[in-house]
Amino acid sequence: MRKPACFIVVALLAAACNSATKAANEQPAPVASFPVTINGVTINEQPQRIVSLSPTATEMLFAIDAGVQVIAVDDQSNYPADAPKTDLSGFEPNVEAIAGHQPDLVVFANDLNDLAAGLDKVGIPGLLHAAAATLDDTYTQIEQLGLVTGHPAEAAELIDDMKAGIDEITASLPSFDVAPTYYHELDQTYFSVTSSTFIGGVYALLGLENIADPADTQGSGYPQLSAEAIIDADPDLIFLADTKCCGQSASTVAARPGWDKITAVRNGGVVLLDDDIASRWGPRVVEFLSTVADALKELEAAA
Amino acid sequence: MSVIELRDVRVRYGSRLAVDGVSARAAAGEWIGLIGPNGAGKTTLLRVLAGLLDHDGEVLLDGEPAARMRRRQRAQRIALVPQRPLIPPAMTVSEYVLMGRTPYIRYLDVESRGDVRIVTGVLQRLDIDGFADRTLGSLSGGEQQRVILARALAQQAPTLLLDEGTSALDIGGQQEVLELVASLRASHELTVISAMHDLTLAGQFCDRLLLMADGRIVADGEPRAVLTEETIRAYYGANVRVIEAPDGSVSVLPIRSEAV
Amino acid sequence: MTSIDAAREVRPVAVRPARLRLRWWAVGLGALAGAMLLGVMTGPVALSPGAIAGELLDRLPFLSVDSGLSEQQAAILMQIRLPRVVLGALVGAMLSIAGAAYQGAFRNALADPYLLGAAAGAGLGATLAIAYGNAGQGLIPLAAFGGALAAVALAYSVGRSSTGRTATTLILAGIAIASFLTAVQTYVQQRESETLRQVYSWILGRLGTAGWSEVLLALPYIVGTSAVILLHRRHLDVLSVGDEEADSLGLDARRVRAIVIVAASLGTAAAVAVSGLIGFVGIIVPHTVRLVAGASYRVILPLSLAFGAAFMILADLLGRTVAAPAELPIGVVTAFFGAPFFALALRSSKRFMP
Repeated sequence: MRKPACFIVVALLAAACNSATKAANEQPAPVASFPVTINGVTINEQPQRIVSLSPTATEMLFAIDAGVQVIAVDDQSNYPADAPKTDLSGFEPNVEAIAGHQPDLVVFANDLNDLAAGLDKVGIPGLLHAAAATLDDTYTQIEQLGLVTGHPAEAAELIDDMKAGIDEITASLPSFDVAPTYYHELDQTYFSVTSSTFIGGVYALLGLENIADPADTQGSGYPQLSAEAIIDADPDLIFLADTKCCGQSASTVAARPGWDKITAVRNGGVVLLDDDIASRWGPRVVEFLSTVADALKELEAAA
Repeated sequence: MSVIELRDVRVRYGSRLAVDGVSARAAAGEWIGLIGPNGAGKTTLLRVLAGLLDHDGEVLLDGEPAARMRRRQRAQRIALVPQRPLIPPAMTVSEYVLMGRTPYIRYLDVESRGDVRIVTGVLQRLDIDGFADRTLGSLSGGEQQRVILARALAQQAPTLLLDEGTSALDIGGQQEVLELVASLRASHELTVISAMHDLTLAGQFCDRLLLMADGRIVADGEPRAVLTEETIRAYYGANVRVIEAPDGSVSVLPIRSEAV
Repeated sequence: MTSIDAAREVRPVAVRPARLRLRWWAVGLGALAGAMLLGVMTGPVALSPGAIAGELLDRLPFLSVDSGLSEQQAAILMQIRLPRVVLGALVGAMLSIAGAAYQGAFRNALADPYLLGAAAGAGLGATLAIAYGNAGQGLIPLAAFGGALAAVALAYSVGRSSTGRTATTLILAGIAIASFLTAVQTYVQQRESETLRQVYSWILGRLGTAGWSEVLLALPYIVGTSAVILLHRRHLDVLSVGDEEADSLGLDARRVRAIVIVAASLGTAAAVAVSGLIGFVGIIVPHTVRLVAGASYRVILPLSLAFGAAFMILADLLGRTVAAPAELPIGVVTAFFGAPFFALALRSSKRFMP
């Protein structure tokens, strides 16, 4: 609990910093206020018993200093490590189990098993933050979480930091005559992502061309490629998002028949990603961008 | 030296003795008929001779213990015409009769030209050389019988065992086969041991009859000695009249008992 | 005039042992070659037949041809397509000849290579490896192989009655063992339900994507056991008249049966280890050969090798083109296309072997 005096000092300093860095946008630091209504959900007072069923939401909540208000997170929320992990499932949500924690706010990413309706019935406020399609969606979600948990200032700061980080990365990118091609691997059966997905959009932001785009005849965003097609496309970079779940690495990829002829494999362009970071749209996406940018720098150096 | 000798042969089926201490001898060229009521052990004895059953006692072929012979050797001495042969309908006559050469073909070899020559000769002898390409399923019962006999002949074994093979044929067919065997016996100097139901035919074709009952030999001698009305009534429980034919052979005629 | 006399009037026909006619040699090899060609020519990436031929010729010693394929395309051909086609040929040939061998050994037209429980044993082995083996993919083929052999050995030791091992007692034992092992497998799957999907996909069968390593793994077993079975073609013909008659002809029926079963089971275990449980091939191919080419095992065994190989390659082809880039499990394809084809062949021919 903050003492009012410190609060005023911090606010003045924040205002000063804000005015220094945000010369163009003269906006006062947002202040928490309740009740607040987001996406049709009304929160009357600052929630103290938040349940998160979305690993991304968990990351966001802790990043905006709302971690102390989080009492339970789902079984896949493994970051940060000290988040209160439980057996609750985000993919097979059980309203009773959730209600057993007596939450005053539930944040979830998938409305499965009639979760939203179930929460409504028992009078628990639920906030649906589905998978982001673009970075802007991410920022919107962070902002909304800030409002709904009473940390709008922290949320705004986080967003600014993220934007700054991303700008810095994109500014330092090497340029190529021809856009480098890449293959992003989701699993060992060659499921990939197209540029229309969140992560695909991030790659595109960094100037990469996706070999899976022409293969998505059904427009699902997640086409399954064949080994032959991948070898024939000969991507410059291969990003493995199945390192933790399925033990894939540069050596396992090189051992696949015919793959040793791929440029990426030959030139050490096989990049190991953290499965989780590559599948979430939270604050750590900046880390992801940084990893990809490093790979691009190495690619330029090798050329 | 006898071609075949049995010394105190016993065969056990569970707790029952199907053959209970049989000792007998067969001289070369003899035609011995095994007769007796159902379950007397005739087929069992033949199977012992063919090497298909475990038994106590000894079987000697040309003085050698058969137990010490390998299967192939035995098959070169004894050929069996089974009671109910399995006839693969799609197999050709050639292929079937060539199987009779199995005891002479080395393990990994196939039939040689010599084998083909021998089988051709056998088919000619039995007047079925025109059937070589026919499938077994397309033959009549009588034709099949000849083919089965041909296979046994192809084994070129000096002893032939017949297991009531004629019972499925009509009276003409039966006679035909037995005449064929008689003629083959003469030309090939075969020893024949046949299990037979029909006592008259047994009497007509066999040199010697062994009457079996309950697994034992209860009579052994020429047909006219063995086929007596008392003997037949005692072991078959049948009423018959035995008549001597002009040529010396005996005929057994069943007679009906007085009407009740 | 009896039919016998009538035969005498006709010119006598030559006595001929059964053998594989030249015509069928050509058909068999032709089918195999055609299927292999089609197999290497088909795939998601278009490669021209000329370039393929050039690349393959280039691999022959003393020959140097520029096929015009890029390094990656050559890798696709030599590292992905060719090993897959070769593996398909090996597995198809093995399952077919093993099926034919079992049919001959048991004198039963419905026998297939999984009769003595090999499939159930392999399935259980694979399930245990998937559920409890954390060493990864390498353990599964080994476990499947061992499981298949253990099941057959078990069936063989159990399958004897007071009169010894007959065809019937072995079949019954095989059924019992298979049921038991399947029950155990189901139990394990229920307990470790996350393994269900992986086990199921293994059971439906698939031709490996591990390049030449799986080919090399299975090759010695398949070649060796097929050779042993082929060497016993004459014996299987003799076996067709029954154990007793075969014995009286100087053949040791039980020993021949044992040798053939061991060889067929060993080869089947190797095939199953690398390709999962692909059904139907072991019954359909030998039967079809029997219906069209003849009943002797000297015809059935070699032609089963050739047609089995071709059939498997074509089934795999279908499996990977019909729903590309996803792959239909090959077991589904063989069942889907094999069963009606066989029904058709059966209706149009009167030849049938008991």
